[in-house]
Amino acid sequence: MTEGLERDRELGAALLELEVPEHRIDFDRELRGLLALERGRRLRRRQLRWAAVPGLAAAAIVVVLLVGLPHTASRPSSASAARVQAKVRAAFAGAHALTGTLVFATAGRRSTAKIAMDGRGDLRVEPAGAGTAVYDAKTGVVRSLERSASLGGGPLFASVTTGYPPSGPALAGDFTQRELTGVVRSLLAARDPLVEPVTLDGRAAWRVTLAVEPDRRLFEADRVEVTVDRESGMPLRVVWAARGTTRASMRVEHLRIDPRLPADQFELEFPRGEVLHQDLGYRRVSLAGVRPIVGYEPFVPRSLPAGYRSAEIGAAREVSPAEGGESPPRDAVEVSFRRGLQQFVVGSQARRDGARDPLGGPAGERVTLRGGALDGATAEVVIDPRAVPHLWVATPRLLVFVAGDLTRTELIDVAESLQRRTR
Amino acid sequence: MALDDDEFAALVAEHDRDLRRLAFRLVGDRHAMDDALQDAYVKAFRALPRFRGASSPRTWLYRIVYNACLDHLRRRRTYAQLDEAVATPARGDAVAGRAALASALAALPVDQRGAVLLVDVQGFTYPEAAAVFDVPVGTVASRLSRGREALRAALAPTREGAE
Repeated sequence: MTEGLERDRELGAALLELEVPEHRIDFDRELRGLLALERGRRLRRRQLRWAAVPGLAAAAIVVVLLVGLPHTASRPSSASAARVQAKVRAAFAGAHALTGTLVFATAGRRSTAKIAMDGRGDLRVEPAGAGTAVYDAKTGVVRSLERSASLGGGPLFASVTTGYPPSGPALAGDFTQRELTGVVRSLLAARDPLVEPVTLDGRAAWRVTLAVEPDRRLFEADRVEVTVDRESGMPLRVVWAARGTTRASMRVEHLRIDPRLPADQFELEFPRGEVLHQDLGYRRVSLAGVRPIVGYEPFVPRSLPAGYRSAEIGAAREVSPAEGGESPPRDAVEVSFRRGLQQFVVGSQARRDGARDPLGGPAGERVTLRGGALDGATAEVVIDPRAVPHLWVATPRLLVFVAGDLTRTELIDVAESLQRRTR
Repeated sequence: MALDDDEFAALVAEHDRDLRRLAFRLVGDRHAMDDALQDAYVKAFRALPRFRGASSPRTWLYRIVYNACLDHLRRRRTYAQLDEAVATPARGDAVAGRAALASALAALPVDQRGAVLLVDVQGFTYPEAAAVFDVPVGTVASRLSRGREALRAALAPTREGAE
C-alpha cells in the first residue's frame, strides 16, 4: 500500500473526539414501527409487483386474490365460490376504469385514500394528508407530491421518477399495506371459502368467509370476510377478525366502474420550486427497439390468453439499484399485456449469478416446456401464497419469466408459445 | 450471503454509533441525523431480500446511510432554500480546538467530509470507502487529500498551542 492510501490516524483521532449525539427519545420506538410496516410491505411487494393491478388499490388487490382462490369441489359452498370467482374475474377483465375511496379502520385509527385506475395501467393514489402520486403507464413516469419527513408531516416535496418497468410502481399509502399483506397470504392459502348471500348498504352482495392462519408478524387475524357486490363483482368491504372480534376493516366507498375520468386524472401539477428527479432505467420502446438496448431479441408469446392485448414494452441496459438494493437487473426487458384491469408480463434479464428466480419467489413446480423458443427447457412454476403466480426459466445467458394474472395452465401455455421477435 | 431480520438488527446495533457520527457530521444537526438514519435503516431493511453479500454488510449499510444523508441534504436544499449544510459546533465540541475542527469539517464539501470520516475516523480502507461512495479509489484519494489539507490547517493552531 502506498503512502497515499493510508489512513491519517492523528486526524482521525482528533475527529473521533467530536461529539456524537444520541438519538432522540422516540427514535427506537418510531423505527420499530416503521420496520413493522416494512415487513408488511416486503411481503406485499413480493406478491404484488407483478400482480394484475399495480399499485395499492386495495380493492383491486382483494379482487385479484379472490380470482386466485382455489376451487373446492367437495365443499357445499364450492358452487357459490366458483360463481363469485367467475363474477369477480369477469368484472376485472371487463372493466376499463375504476375509481373509489378506500376507508381503513383499525384500533382507533382511520385512514382514507382516493384511488383511480384505468385499463392502460394508469394510477392515481391520494392518501389523505400524505400527498398525491400519479403513474402514467405509457411513459413509465411517476409524479408525486409527498411529505418529506420520515414520519410524516413537513412540507410537500415534488418528485418525478422516470424509467419504471411496464409492471409499474407500487404507489402507496401505508394503511393499505400492512394489514392487507397478511390477508394476501391468508386468502391465497385458503382452501374452503364459505359464501353467503348478504345485503350491504342496500345492495345485494356475497360475503366470502375464510378461516386463515394468523401471521403474528403482520396481523393476527384468524378470519377474513370479503363482501363482493353481486351486480358489479367488485369487493365492497373486508373485515379482519381474531377470536371473534373485529380487528380491522376496509370499505370501498364511492366505487364507480368505468366512470368518465377527467382528462387530467393521471396528471399532477407541481408548485413552483425544484423537483427531485430519479430514473429507474427502463425506456419505452417498440419490439425493434429492444435489441439496441439489451443486445438480444425479446421473447414474445405467439398466442395470448383470451382477451389479452399487447401493451407497453420496456427495456433497460441497467436498472437503477432501487433503495440500496444489490445486483439490480441488467439487460432487462418487460413486454406487457393487459386485459381490462388485469396484466401479465413476459420478462427477461441477463443471467449474472447463477440460475436464480428473478422474482425472488419460493421453490416451485418443475416442468419441461414443449414448444416455442424455450422448447425442452426446465421451467419452475411458482403458485404460492408468498408470490405472484409466475414461471421462470434459466437459459445459458438469460433469466426469462412470465408473471401476472394468469393461471398455472396459462403461464405454461404462454411460456411454450414464446418466440424471439423484433417486430 | 443473505441477512435475516435478526442479523440486520444486530448489524444496525453494532454500527449505530459510528453511523450517527457520520450522519451528524454530514447533515449538520441532530434532528436531521435522526431523520436520515431512520430513512436509511428502513431502506436497508427494505433492501434486505436483495442483499447478496457482494459487499460486506458494513459497507452495504454505510452506502445506504451515506446516500440517505445526501438525499436529505438535497431535499433540504430544495425546500428550505438552504445552502450546503454547515453544522454549528455541538455542545460537546465547545472544548478548545474541537469547535474549530468541527467547523472546518462542516465547511468541507460533503464528499470530502464523507471520505475523511470513513477513512480517517472509521478506519475504512480506500477500496471500502470507494464502494460506499460508488466512485473509483482514486476519487476517494483525491477527496481525502483535499479534505485533510483543510482540516490539518484547522488543527494546526491547536497543536501549536498545546506545545
